Amino acid sequence: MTPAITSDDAATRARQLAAVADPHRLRVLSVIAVASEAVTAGAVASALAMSRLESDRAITALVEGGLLEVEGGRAYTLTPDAWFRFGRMLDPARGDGEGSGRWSLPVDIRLALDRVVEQLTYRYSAFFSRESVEGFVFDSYELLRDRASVTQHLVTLTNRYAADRLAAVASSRGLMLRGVPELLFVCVRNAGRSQLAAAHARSIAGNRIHVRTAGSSPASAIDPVVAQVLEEDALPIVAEFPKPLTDEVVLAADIVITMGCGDSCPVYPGRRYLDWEIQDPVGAPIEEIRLISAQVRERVHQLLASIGVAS
Amino acid sequence: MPIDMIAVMQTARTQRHAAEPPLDLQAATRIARALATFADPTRLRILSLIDASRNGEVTVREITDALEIRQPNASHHLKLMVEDGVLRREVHGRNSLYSIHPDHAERIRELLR
Repeated sequence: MTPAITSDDAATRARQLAAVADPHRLRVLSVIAVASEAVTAGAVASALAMSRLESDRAITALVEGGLLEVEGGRAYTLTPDAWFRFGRMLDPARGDGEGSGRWSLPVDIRLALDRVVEQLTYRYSAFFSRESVEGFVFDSYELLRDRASVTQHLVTLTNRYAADRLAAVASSRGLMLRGVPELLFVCVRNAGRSQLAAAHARSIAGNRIHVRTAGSSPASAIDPVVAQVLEEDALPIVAEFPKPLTDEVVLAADIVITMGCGDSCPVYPGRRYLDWEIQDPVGAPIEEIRLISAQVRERVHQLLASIGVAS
Repeated sequence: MPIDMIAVMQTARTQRHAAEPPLDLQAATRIARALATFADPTRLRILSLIDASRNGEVTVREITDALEIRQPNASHHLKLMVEDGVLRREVHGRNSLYSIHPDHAERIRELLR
């Protein structure tokens, strides 16, 4: 049995808590939390009838504790961390969890958030359980909702906010190396070419990339001859079963490589798209599949070299 | 968090009622006292351990083993948290089982995440 937080992590949190565990600093934080914009030290002092010296001291301690940040040189706002950990207790209007929780939400919102949970669970499957992701998503929604009068884009905002939080938590716990490119190999059946490409990519670049695969109309199982060719090269299969091409997998990718299914792949801005002409190995004799595999390896190697992760 | 997300949250805040009363001194003092209980790495790790345990309860022995701290040290922190009402202690024969008081469970999870 081990605690969920490391001793380094505990020390950081304890310092943060010590910075905030003071009635005057808490009140300073709450004044800034409910203000409509960044607040100057002078405004804090007058709102709480403190001297400038007192408000300056409180603000300095809160900045050092990572709870406040400076905006425009002299005004202060809460850090995302402060909102996340202490937002609930700083805002008396918000109450303490009453009427909160997913069951108090309208059913259409719940369904929309469930979809966000699905997407993020997929994206962060290497780092978080579904339950954790769900917790982050519903909590992010409530935090955003309680601070907004516009509800139109709340689900979209929740998606981005929760994704940012998850990425931040994952990288702060050392779970995720920032800047590890995510490659998505797409072919028609997700049974041959994309499987070959994924296996070669993994063997060439190891943990320096994330690899996913998908198919525009996935087969029921990986082509056994393809699996055999991979086994001959002692390459483990990356994806255990053919998966449909969905928006989520494309959204999660940095580089999308299509092989024979170009048009069916949704195009999103900010992703690099490559289309490779590789023969479909379906029904081909094993000698031919070995050649296809070698051809795929060559292209994968070129690609990985071009992004600086080939060994 | 990227800059634009912060901007969104700040714009959202702008749309709230302008003059809400900040935390009063009495409430702030109460919250500060509660937070001070948690402002210690060993206590946070004990709480995290209990939170991560299978039944939500642990013995002193489990704490000293998992956190590699000495028994008097663990007992000191446990006593303090029981007195503050953060932990509950149940005696089972020669063993005491410590669990998080349900009133505090949600807040503690918030602080630990």
